[in-house]
Amino acid sequence: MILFLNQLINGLHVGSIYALIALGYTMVYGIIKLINFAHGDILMIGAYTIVVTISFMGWPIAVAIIVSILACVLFGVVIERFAYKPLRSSPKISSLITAIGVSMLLQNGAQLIFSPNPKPFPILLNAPPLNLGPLQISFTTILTFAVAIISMISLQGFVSTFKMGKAMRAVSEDMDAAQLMGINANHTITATFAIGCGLAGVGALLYCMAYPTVSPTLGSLPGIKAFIAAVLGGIGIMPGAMLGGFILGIAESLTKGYISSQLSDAVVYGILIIVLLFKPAGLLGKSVSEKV
Amino acid sequence: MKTKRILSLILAAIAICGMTIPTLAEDTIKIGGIGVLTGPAALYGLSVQKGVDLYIEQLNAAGGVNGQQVEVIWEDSQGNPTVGIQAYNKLVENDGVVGILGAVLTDVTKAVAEYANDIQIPMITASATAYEVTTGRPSVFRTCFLDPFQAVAVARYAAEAGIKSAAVLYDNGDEYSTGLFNAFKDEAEVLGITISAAESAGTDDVDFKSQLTNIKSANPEAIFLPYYGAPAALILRQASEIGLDVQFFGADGISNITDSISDMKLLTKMLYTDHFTVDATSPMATKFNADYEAKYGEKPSVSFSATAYDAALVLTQAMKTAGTTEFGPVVDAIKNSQVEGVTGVIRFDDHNDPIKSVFFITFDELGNKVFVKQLDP
Repeated sequence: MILFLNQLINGLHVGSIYALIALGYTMVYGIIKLINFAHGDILMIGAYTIVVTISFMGWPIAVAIIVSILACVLFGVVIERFAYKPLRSSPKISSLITAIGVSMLLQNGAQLIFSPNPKPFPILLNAPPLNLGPLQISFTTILTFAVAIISMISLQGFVSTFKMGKAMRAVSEDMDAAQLMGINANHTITATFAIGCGLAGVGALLYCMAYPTVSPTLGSLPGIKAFIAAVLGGIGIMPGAMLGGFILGIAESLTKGYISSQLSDAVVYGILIIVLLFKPAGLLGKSVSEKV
Repeated sequence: MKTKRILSLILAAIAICGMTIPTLAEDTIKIGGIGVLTGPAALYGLSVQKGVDLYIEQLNAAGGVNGQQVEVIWEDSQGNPTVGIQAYNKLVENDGVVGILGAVLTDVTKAVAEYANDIQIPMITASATAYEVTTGRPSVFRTCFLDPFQAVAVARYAAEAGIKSAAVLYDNGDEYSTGLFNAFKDEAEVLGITISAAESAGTDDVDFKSQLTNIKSANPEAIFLPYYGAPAALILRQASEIGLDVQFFGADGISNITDSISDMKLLTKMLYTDHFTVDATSPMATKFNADYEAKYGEKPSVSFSATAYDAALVLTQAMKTAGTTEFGPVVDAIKNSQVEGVTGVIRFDDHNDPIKSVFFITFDELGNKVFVKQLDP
């Protein structure tokens, strides 16, 4: 039982990270129906920013964290402006291929600058694990879980109450109609990228606290997992990304703990296939029937 | 008219060059170096390269081999067997090398060794530790000890330290890791150490907490981690996060762990086997350490620079003894060599493996390597 609870906690930790990255995926998809494959690489940029600012330049941790999140936001906005915006009216497939191209550009660029050798991620906090009877929960796990939940709730609050949030929902529902109502769609999309990539920056921080080595391909694996989480929960829906992330993390952890580490990816993809067979729009997605 | 004259001049120049190139080529002995020079395991390849280059530089300064200078041509295997074979073909067919130093990683070396054996070109690896690398390949040698040998040494050390139960976490997609695991398990059973948990992970995994949680619930006295430095650093960190506080054992793959870890205190729990230590005191070793530091401005961080130095030494010495670079006589000369190297006296057994000692190393709180014990064969 204790072993099971411990594995559940491990799963929640990984799941929270997936969920946080999936939030960014889902926001961008929700508004311009683009799967931003470069999202995982934004994560990598956040991680390298922290390594450079703390390990090489010796900046205080708090400043480094803020700078790294800002770097992610900046990259996100610049990528949107130069890679995706010119293709806004072209077929979806062009943007998709561009997204893959941007992902490769970032990975190879990082390889050029930082070399392919992994770098150690600095220790940001060294708190002892929390003992709850026989259960031991590491402080990183608690922090990650809390940050993920807080991010989701505040995002949900943001899109339902603030003006910019409402504009996001309007643009995501119907871009042309929103523009006719006087909403600046371009600004709204830029804001969405900024928030999504900022979340990737937070994700980078939590990911590297859990797995403290940084390499140019760091973002590809969590990027793919987070994408699956977003699809599983219903892409475009924020609580769905959260739910998908947790399911994914727990499924992985339990498979590794009880069945075999070789099967963990098979189980994850198996769950995805089964869910999509019965609910093509994802767990929380509503299927919209189109009138012909 | 003018263009014609220029053209004929160029042609004449080419003709002259064409005539001089072969005579130039005869002046140098070309040796091919294959190693992983980029990617996560690059440190191993670069260490091997540095060790070889250091020796060849000294050798050339002392007059080379049989009156000829030696040149090593390096190719990057990227840690990939297919790329390794391409590198081998380029070296043998285009560059006409007469010996191969490398490859560095076990699976690449196995792939290249198969080709090298076909034409019986002498090949010495400084770092491929899996048993089968030299099996049935009479022209392939190595200057490092073997996985079974290190795993057996670790098991014996653990038994001597009074450890009764040990767990293993290994990489099920990597031959190095599974080979060490199997050898450790067999020897541990002989010595009466119970393997209380044997967990595995995939090669690209970064999350080991599920496996470590299982290991923790089995309550072992020690954990054997047949891993390379970068993943081992992640494992040590995650083990401390879930409160798993026991002795860790590793093999030579651990030797680069200090490059991937920021919390050096975790390393005090790690003890591993190595081919060489900078604390070694033989005259050759002392000279090697000094020369290495003079040339590269740092102490050798991975012992493979020492075994690579020895590999280059053994190969060129054999060419001197044979008095030729023909494959057959050189292979025979390597087989019968008895050379004083940096890592000790090198002679080869029937399986083309060196007969040599293993060093146990641990770390202090600042991540400096601390020599613990030497175990002779």
